[in-house]
Amino acid sequence: MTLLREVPALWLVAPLLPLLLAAGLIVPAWRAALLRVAPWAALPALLLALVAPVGTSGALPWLFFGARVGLDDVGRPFLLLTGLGWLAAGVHASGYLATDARRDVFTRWFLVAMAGNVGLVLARDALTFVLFFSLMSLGAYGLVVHDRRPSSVHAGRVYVTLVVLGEMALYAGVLLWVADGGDLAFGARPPHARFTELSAGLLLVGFGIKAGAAPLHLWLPLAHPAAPTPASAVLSGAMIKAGLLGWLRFLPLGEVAAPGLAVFCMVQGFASAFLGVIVGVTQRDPKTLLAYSSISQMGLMNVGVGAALLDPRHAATAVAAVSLFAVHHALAKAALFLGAGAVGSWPAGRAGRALFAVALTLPALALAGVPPTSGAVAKAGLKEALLAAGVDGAPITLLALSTVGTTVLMARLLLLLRARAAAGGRLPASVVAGWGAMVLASGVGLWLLPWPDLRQAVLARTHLVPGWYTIWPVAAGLGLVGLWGWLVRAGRAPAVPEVPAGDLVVPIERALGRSAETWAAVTAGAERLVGLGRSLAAALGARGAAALGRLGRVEAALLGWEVSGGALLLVLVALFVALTWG
Amino acid sequence: MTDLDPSFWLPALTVLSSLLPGVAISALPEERHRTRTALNLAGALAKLVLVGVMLLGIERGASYETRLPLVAGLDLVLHARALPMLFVTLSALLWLLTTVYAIGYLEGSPNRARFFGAFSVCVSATTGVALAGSLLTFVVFYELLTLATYPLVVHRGTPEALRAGRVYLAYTLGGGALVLVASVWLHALAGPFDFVEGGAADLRMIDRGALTAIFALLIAGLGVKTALVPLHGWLPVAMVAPAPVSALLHAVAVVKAGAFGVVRVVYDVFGIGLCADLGVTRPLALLAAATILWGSVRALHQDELKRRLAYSTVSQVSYVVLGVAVAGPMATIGGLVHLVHQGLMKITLFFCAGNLAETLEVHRVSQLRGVGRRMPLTMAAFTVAALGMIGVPPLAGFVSKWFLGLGAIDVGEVWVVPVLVGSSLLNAAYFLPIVRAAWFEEPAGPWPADHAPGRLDAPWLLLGPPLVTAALTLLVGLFAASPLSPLDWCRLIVLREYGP
Repeated sequence: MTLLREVPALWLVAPLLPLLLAAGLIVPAWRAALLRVAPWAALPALLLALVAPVGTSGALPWLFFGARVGLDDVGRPFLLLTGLGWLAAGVHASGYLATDARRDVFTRWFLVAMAGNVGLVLARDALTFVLFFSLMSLGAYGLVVHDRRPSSVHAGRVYVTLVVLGEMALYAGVLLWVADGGDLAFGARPPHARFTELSAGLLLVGFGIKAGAAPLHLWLPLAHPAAPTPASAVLSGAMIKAGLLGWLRFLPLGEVAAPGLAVFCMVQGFASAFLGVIVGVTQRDPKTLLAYSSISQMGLMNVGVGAALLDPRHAATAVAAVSLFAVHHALAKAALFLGAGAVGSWPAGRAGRALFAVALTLPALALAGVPPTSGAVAKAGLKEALLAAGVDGAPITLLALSTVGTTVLMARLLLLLRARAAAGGRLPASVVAGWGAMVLASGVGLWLLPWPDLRQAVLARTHLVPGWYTIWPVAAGLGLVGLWGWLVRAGRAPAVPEVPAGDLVVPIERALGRSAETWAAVTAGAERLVGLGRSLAAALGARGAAALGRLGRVEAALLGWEVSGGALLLVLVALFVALTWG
Repeated sequence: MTDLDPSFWLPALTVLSSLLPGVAISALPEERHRTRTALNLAGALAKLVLVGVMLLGIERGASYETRLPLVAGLDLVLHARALPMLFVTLSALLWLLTTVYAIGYLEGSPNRARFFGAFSVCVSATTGVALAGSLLTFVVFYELLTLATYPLVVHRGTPEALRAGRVYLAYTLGGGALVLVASVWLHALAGPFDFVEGGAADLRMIDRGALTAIFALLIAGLGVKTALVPLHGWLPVAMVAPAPVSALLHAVAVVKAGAFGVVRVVYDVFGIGLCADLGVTRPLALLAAATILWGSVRALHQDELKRRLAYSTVSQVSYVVLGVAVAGPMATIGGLVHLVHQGLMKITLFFCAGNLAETLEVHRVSQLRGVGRRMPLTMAAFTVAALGMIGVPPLAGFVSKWFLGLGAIDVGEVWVVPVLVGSSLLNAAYFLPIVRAAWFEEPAGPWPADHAPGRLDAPWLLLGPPLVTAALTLLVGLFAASPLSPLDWCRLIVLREYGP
């Protein structure tokens, strides 16, 4: 490991390996061989997460603006979820897309997005982070539009629009962040002076788009389901966390108390949490429902970010809790997406069915926060972080209510999946391996983390014995589902309309359609203005035009350049040479 | 100083290295294809070597100056210092690539002797503009550039080309006249003076009103070639010229000469301190900002690819002016480095537009659907340059935009940031649909035949130059912090301009 200290460029192996594989896939002769290696491209990232010593970083002064890469306490859980998520999805994809004619194209975008995602976790300065973040956003576009269905192309367009807006917010936000700190590196910064709020606001927007923070979540319920299943898993599992990591990196956590920003984050977070549940529960497509669930869960993480902003002394606890929540959600959500993609191959045998049912239910229970799953631990950690920051009362109750919502949402998901279960061909071994790895990791992963310090930070104050606080919301949620089932059977359930995926996208696109007409009118006005200016100039220059007409004759003469040109040039050179010698 | 002192002769030789081949080529019969090509390439390579020698020398602290008495009291001065070398290096490198491209592009078309003759003179004039050590010398070469470019613009001889030539001459001769008047006025008031880093000291004695008027005249005159709104009308019209000429107009020579003139006037004639005292920097910055936004808004609605690129140049070149006018060291780095970065990106785009027109007869944005699979290398280069224009890290455009924004915040001109954001959004709005259509959509119909699978999408003479410039667009950004990158060189210039 001292090698990493001596040769900091070694960190770059993790993002460069997928990037080089993506480049190599362009060569037809190498394609078959590289496609066999590609599923394992995330292995270096995962290895670094498990064995690289925390706190090491190195400078690469020749790269970009002088890059710094390395691993710290905040980065490690993210590197773990990123490495694990991409590895499982890669293995899964190698089977899932085995018969896809454009598998190599998919793999190329997959590897580009992977390189960006891994690189941004390892970045230890602002611009390296932004560089890899952009790379990831670019690669994800290819994943979203992979199947070229009209709905995917539409999702891609909404995605790109928001990515561009996000990149602009990031450019301005990071610019102000650097101007304030006077330095690109993450870490110790001078007390923020001029632009703390403005820069934080821009960064909340820029990263919020990736993190699916309502009302910037529009693209997410369209794009996450549009991508092929393994891509959905990394979009909703690993890549969505890049937005969260951006917040942890750039917001003034542990530096200043920012009560305004803190309240904003908490209000936004709870709004996202409940919006995701309420709109999500009306969905009929399991993948869309899962995307809304991601919006909801990311909202809860933003509540934790709010807690970290509230009190700098306890920011570290809150950040640890949020990181743990991120790991839990990334693993569970990826397992659920991969499971949702497998219900078309429902096995015939009893044992197989039971196994399938367990593999689908276990991550759903984890997401709902049923003890003793990782979800219960993550939610308890979040609650402790809120209490430590001095938040009590309403937010704690809202946290519990969100669990009620998540329970209902997960119950709905399982019902939808059961309805869709259909016998199909056997799943390829690699699909089972990728899915199974994710289910196992989400089930027991948190307990096997090799980092006692992180576990300590979160679990020290958490009761491992399930308490009333963790049990009643789940029970209430299940009760609600039961009540609804009874209403349906009794024929008394009110009709619930399905909210179209992307909810606000629909009215916004309608409004944009109208404003496109307005814009056309505006630009037509601009063209008229230009025309007016031209005719004005023409009127003023009527006499000049006559002179220009005469130029036409000069022009004709000049066109005989073969004859006259050489002569003119000779004169010029003679002049120059005479001057030079004179 | 002896007659053989290289530090005396090198700047003059650099100018002559393209002028002499130009003359020889004009005198050559049309069918002497090989000799012409040899002369062209020899001139371009010789210039590159001379520039390389001077670059190394200047890095070690040497200085080069050719000074020849013109008339009593007025010298023709060519000097090679940090700032001129930035522009000379750019034009020498891009000239070589454009020459290679032009040889491929004009293969078999008539009037090649005229074309390459004028082409070489054009580059000599640009070199003169870059190395000019005094305002007078600058004006001489600036006018020569106007005249030498004309035959290139009207090269095709079509009525449209002739009209474009007429518009071009009307605009640039007018602008040139303004520059000349202002220079004479300034000489009358201040006596002869050279370009000096930090500005000519004795200008402070002159009446402020007169100075402001001279500054305005100079900017108005230079603003024509720089294509500052509302003086930009000639540039979109001139896009009828063949692709290598567009590359020359937009990246190597003409608009760059204007922008470089603005840099010279602000930093080496008036000096940034005096400009700030006169209160002329803010209006100039606002003008540049207006140009940046207006050019992009107009680009949105052009379906003709080269016309869209032309409006994009209007917008992007004003980044240079903006960086200069915002008047802080960081912003100046951003502006100067964009002189190089814009050149690399825009020349790539025009090379690619030329390839599309030559190979597939594609001239319009609406015809580009699915072209990525037919011409992957060309469109890959185009995509890199377009993303660079938008400012996607780590490409060249991002580096410029970053320093412009940081520099503006540094001196309290925060309003520049939304302007840059707006420009990037507009750039995304008119470049991304092209990229998307090329790679992610199906072609409307079959492409013209004659394409064997596995072959290059265009002759290598046409494909090499854009691939090289696209690679440079990536490399100058990705390794921006390395020694001898354009960014590093601009830091050196700024150190000297703002130095003690």
